[in-house]
Amino acid sequence: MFGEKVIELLKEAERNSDTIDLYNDEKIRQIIQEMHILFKMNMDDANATTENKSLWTTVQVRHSALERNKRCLLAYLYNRMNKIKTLRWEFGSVLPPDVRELLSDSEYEWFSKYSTNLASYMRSLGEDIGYSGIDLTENLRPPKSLYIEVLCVTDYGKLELEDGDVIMLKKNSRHYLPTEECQTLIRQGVLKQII
Amino acid sequence: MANSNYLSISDILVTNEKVPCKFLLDLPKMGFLDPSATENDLKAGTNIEIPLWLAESLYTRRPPLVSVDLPKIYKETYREILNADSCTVDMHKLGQHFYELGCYIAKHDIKGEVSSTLLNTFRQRFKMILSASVSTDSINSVQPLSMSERKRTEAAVVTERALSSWLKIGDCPLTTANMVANHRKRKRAEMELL
Amino acid sequence: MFIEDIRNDFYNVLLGNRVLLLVHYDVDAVCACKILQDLFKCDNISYTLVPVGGISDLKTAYDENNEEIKYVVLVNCGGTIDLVDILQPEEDVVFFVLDSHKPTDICNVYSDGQVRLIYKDDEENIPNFDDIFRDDDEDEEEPEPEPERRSALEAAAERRRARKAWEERRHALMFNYTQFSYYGKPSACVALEIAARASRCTTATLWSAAVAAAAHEALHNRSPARCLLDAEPLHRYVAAAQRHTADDDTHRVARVSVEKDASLPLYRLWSLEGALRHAGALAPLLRLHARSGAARLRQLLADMGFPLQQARQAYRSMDVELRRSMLTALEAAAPKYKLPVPTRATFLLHRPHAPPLSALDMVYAIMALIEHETIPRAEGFQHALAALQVTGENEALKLGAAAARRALEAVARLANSILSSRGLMLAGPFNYFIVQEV
Repeated sequence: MFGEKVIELLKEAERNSDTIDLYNDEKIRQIIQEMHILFKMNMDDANATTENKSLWTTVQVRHSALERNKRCLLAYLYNRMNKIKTLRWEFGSVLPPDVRELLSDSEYEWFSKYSTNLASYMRSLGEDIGYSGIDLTENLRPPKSLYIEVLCVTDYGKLELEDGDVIMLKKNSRHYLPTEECQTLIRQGVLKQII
Repeated sequence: MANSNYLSISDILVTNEKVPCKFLLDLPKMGFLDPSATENDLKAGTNIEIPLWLAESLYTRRPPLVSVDLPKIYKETYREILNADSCTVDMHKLGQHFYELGCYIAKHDIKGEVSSTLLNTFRQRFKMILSASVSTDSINSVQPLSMSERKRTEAAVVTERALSSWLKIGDCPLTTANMVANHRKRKRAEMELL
Repeated sequence: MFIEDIRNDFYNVLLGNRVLLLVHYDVDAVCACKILQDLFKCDNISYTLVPVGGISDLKTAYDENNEEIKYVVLVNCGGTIDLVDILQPEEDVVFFVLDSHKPTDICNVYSDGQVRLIYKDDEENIPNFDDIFRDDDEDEEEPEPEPERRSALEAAAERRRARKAWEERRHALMFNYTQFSYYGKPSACVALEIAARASRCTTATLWSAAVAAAAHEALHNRSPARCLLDAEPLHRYVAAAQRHTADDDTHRVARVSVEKDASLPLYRLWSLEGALRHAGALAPLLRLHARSGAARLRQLLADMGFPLQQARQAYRSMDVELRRSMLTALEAAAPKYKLPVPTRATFLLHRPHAPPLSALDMVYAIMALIEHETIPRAEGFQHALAALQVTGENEALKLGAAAARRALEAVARLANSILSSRGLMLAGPFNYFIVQEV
């Protein structure tokens, strides 16, 4: 049957719709291979239709399969692109190595470009009224107070605050810190807010 | 095919569902489409189940290569059951993509009853989804739901929880971003497997 | 050195600075820490809180977090050891010590400003400075001028003798001072004092202090008379807070009150029978370890007028009439079984739309959280802090209460099996039993 491999690929992606998978290079190569074969067969049969009129139906079936495969591959890539966009907002501009290795080379290139674009856009915000940009990835929710209490859930290491103080973030230590300093770390899952 | 869902994975999975079709023309070298066939060619008049995407694409050709029949859950007998009490039907078993597939199938229904059945079914089952989204033992109540119903329920559960915690505490704490949290969870699960 | 004025010499010094808060794993420390945290939050004092469970823990916690930190507050730790010697801090780091463990190390007491003790306990007989410390420089100048050799020798011998006497005296003093370790006033009660001086005495503060006071009483850390004295200011603050709450507010906000209550562990979160069976003060007197114990317990319940079925079900779903009459029934039935008075004045937390909570139950729950069988101690500490909150759903408390029940059951089971198998050794002034490690 046509298009089974590509469905496997998509089902995999759908199963883990909340995380990103390893870019499935092998399977995609196989699918493109399949498409090449289909195309070749179609070319041969299309040339033969002059003698055998009935072959055109077969050509149409194969053509549908080709289009289907194309659609699925595009959908796969498009969905990954959206996830990569989310990665930029949630993990920040520097991806942890274990996430980085899930992306293909061209995907990573796209990520870097997106990141640069986003950064330069954020820098440009408010230039006309004298501000030097806004970090849009911060304050995704309106801050309720200047300081919040946070619990450190992983051994993170040292964190330098804006006023130059250095804080050691170690598992199960609690800190009372300026909200803006810990927002990013909360989103990255290093800290947890305690109410 | 003009389709706004062109890049949607869930739509692709819906169109992967099989529908019974009757081939109207001969298809040389396509015998493998029919698992019971022994010949190399597929003869006109063969009835087999093929994926919806293929059926749709062949149906829209001029002249059409196939005629599409209704899958059994949209047939008269099931329609009666659904119209009587759709809440008793286990959609998880019978039609993972009941509504979505129904939308595609409706146009092949000559009497035009499928669309009204779909609407009716959703009306009846909506209560079930609603109660599943506020109940605590969501595992059992989610069991007989179709894929999209389940997604709605999950979304409703999250919203419900957020609302009640906001009502209680009046503050929504900052939380870990979704993908980060899930990535962690998955990594931990993988570690445990090892 | 001791601090004279807790507001000006302690709290106001911290304002605007980053503080490192090192807290020991015990109920009193958790409570005191909660009070301090609430204060720090009011004044936006940014802090780092690390729970510590021993001297080595204390050292690593300090070494890891001392960067840019000028003020360290130690709660229930560090008082009994020479902090400067052990932590080797920079010159300008100041330690504030709030420790109910006694005796306080003498080097901390006579430190000139680097170690500051927040509370001075009058019961402590701290030796005088001159009796403990002495300049030893004179000993070094041994070579004396020749002519007055004889008298010099004598003088030297005299000095040596005096020195020896002084040393002996010092030794005796130090021995007497450090011979026994004991507990002082609960740290949370001192923290409450600070909060009161800062006019930030909230329900949460009162509740934390009440739990700490109950902890010292329940764990017999202090003599009953001392406990009463410790709690005296607390009683005053509770009464004052009650006066300030308007009558129509009483059902809408959480408040602390002092009421007569049965001193049964966790009975509000358990069943009456379960609580009676595991109450440390009553179970041995009812001889529950003996075969006739169960009958005696049933007899007691019958005397109280409680059907077994009611006594065995969860207290909160027990018959309302029975719940109301429980205290008087228990008091009336107790003398017949030669039980001590089973009721006493207890701090209760009344929350809107929730059953009241007794400080004693809280003590057991917090202890169970800190020493939970599966949760690591540092995480248990976080749960314990969360359990002290006075508003909203209290998941941590539920977790702690369940663990506390399991712990009490395990203790009762072990004690009963020891007593019934006659495993307790009698050795003169001691009875002992060796708990097998599993």
